[in-house]
Amino acid sequence: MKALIYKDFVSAKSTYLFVLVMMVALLVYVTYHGVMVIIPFLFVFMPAIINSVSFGNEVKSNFPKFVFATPISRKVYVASKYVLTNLFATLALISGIILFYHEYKNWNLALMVGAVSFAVTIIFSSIQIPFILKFDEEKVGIAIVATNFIIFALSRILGRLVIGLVSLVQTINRFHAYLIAGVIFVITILILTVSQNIGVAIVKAKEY
Amino acid sequence: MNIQITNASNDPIYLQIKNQIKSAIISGKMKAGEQLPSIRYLAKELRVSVITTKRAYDELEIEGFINSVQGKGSFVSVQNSELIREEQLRKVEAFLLDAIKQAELAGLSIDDLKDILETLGGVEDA
Amino acid sequence: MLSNAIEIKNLTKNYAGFSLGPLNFNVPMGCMVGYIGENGSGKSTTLKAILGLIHPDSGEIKIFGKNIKEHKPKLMNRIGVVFEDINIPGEMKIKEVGKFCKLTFDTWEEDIFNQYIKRFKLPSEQNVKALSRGMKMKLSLSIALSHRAELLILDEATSGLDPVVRDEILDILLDFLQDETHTVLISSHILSDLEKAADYIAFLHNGQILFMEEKDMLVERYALCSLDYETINNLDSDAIVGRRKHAFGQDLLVIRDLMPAGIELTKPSIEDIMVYIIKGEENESTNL
Repeated sequence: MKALIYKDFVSAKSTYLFVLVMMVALLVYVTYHGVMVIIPFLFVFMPAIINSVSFGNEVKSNFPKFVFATPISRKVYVASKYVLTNLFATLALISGIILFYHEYKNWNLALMVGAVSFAVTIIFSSIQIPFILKFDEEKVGIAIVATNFIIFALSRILGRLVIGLVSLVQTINRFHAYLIAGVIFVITILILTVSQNIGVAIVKAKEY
Repeated sequence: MNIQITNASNDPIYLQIKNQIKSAIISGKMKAGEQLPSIRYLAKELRVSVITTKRAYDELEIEGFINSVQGKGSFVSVQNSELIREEQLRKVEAFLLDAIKQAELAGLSIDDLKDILETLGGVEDA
Repeated sequence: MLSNAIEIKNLTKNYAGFSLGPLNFNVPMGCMVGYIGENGSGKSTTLKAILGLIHPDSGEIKIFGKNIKEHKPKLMNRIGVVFEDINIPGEMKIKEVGKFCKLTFDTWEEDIFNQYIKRFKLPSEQNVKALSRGMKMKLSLSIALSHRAELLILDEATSGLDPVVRDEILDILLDFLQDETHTVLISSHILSDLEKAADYIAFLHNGQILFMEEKDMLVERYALCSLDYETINNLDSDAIVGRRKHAFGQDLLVIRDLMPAGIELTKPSIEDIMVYIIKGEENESTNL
């Protein structure tokens, strides 16, 4: 696992650098303009973009053929694809809670936003990654289109969700907030697990 | 130890190796108790199959020229001078039998053969 | 040399327009087995099946006596693999590849890897994509030799390389085999490499193994000769394995023991044996 994460990091250096710079620029921008609350939503988009880049350079070199001739199992390989997503989802969760509370002083809202950001990040990667694993070089185009679609859909859904959340929060108490957050969390983990299992099945069935 | 093998010869390679080692032992170039290179090392250096070198060593062992000790290697066995003599005699007999066959084909008698032998022997001395 | 490094039983794999097997053969430990055959005969398919990179339609494969389905991936620590392409992202530097391998193999030996990199004069700061074909191959080989592998599998690893490099690689393989628990399975259609040092030759033709034998035996059993049509008519037809007819006679691959005395015979190369046997097979199928 460590090896694969190291490889992801090291083989797309220029891309990651670019993403980092973009993120820093955006962070500075939002801080300057006092709209820091957008930050969690930035975290939500990152994995989708980065995943498609990392996928691209692996397909070009047929890297899985090398990997599966080493002690790395298919399970570990697939799991490594989700690491970045989980990281950003956690960042989205934490930053969502902190920033929204800081901004609106409403704990329920903060919790909801955090939970929903977490869920959306993971759920969309859970859809994206099996597609990426399924398709090979010829179908890179599909993966890119799918990613763009995901980003588009994400932004619309997020937008609606946030609006819905704000009105929802008026009607619930703290206990409900925790309950809903808990349910969202559990469903998200379930979807993640199912997605990983599907991913492993796809990779196991593939021939190199 | 010198071993030169050639693909040009119709002799199988294992035989070339075997014969050269044998000559070295008989002529005394390799002494009793001296260690031979491992079959793998020999195979690598000569660029031949390990099965080839193993076969050469196996036959040398059967003929009593070397001893192989598991885990240690192969060594020139203490030579029974009679064994060597016997081997050399065997060789001469084989060649002579060949000569006799050829003579027959050419229509020469054993006496003719003897004459030729003496003539040739005489040339060698001079 | 008693146990087998690889055991293959009834391996079959079917693709559209091509079927492999059923294959049955063993790769004895301590040997170099040359796996030869025309392009498209199924050599790569066989090797990929051994490594679990493709799924056979039937059959059982054991490596070091263990069924690969159950013991992969830890078993891969003991197997060094070299393919025609290196399959590593081009943006990685050689020393990063080394680090990746260190994190991947339980048996990784960094010093040995660095020694090979030095020996092959590979610049460790260089990106993989900037390497020539020969250098990529040397990198693959360095990796394969740096994790205490007992079995090396090379799939057309030397095609496209110049003879000097191929010679170097042969030396390295022979060094690897100095340890009698080490085994090499190498598929190649450059037979001059195998000519010299292979212990066994397995010949794959149209998805079937025509023979898997000691190389020495093959070279001793068969012989080449060049004869006129009349002499050929007087030969035992079983003696002729394959022939090339030309305007002035025929070149034949024959079975030494079935030939009458007095005919000049020369030692065949593995390439000769392969080519003439294929000619012989084709003639049979077209009823020449």
